[in-house]
Amino acid sequence: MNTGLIERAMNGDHEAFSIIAARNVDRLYGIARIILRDPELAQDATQEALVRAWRDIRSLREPDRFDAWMYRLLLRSCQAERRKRRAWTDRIHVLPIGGDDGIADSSATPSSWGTAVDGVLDRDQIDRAMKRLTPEQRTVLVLHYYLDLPVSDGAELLRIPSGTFKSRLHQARSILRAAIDADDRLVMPHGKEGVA
Amino acid sequence: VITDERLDHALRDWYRIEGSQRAPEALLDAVLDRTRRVAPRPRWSVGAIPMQFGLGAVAIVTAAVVLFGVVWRVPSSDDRIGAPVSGPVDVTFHVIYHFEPEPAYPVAGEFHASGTIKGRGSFGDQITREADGSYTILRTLRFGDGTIESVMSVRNVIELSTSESVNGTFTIVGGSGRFAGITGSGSVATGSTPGSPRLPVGSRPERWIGSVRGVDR
Repeated sequence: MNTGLIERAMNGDHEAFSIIAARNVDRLYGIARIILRDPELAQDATQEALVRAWRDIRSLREPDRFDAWMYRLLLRSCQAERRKRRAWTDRIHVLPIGGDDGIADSSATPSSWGTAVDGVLDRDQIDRAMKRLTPEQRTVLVLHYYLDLPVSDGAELLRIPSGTFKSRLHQARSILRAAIDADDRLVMPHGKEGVA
Repeated sequence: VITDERLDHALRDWYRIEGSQRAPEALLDAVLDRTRRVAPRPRWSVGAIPMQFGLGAVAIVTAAVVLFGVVWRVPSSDDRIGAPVSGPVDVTFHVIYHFEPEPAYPVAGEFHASGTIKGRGSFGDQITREADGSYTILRTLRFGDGTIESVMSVRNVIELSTSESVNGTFTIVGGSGRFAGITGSGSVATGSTPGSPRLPVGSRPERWIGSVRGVDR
């Protein structure tokens, strides 16, 4: 992030903040959406985090640490939204809606569900397995796999010891692996579902 | 057994796709609208303490006015909608909103609704499973002011275990969420408006008229 822009925003330049917000909003929304698993909550969390960033931007001591500071604000907002709402809902796929009548052609349905990732795991499996994770475990996965943060940076962001971060990461991966294994066993060889 | 490498690969792929969703344009507009009206807080100092207390008091009073000024209506059980459906589900609501008391500012803007829905389905092999999930109403509602009337259309597919297994018979047994979902409980309207920092607040649907239609694949 351009530190000049951040310094201008710290001096109360709203135009500079607008540019910062525009550059970050998609990424922040993406993170919130992954953590909260709810587009509406993700919008609320992202909005709160950005508004908080503007209000508190003068408390940012090092402009070049803006990204980490912004992530921390977002994670806090996600936690707050999570507390207010139910923790997790299983999902019902939403078909895209377009046009004046509000209903899209069914051919516009996301076809990516069920697309094989490497011949065994597909996104649908990952998606179901994710439901077994706690929000804290989902958060460390996001930091590690989506933001590509090293353990030390992720731990600092969450203000937890590196060992705790590693432990949550390990637990999350174990749970995912077990869930995917169990999921695989539910599928009979001919492709029809059965009971494990 | 899934190797670490394959799990890593699958996770990174999943995050790449799931995280690529663009934020709705209205979100940035709402942020800029809210931030334009306020200045950044001064860096913490002893001199700023009285100001912090003053702002806090104003915020508390404002929140109290908003919370207690809104009439919350909990829809009755008559609002429950249930019908046997199968396959993709078309849900159409005719929603009438009523703001009471009249908002002090014009209510305008874009709102998105989401909620939860529950379904129960049975397969040909007699396996019965429940679907308990969320749906999102992607239709954008444009509000006028005062009493509002709008029609939302939603199309969802109840996902059970695999996309191709949605061929049983399902019954929507209820749900709740913003804009009341199916049963109409726990509705909250949020968003941003040009006239208020964050909105509003509060509209609960006055009543729901709904229909649920199942479409066979």
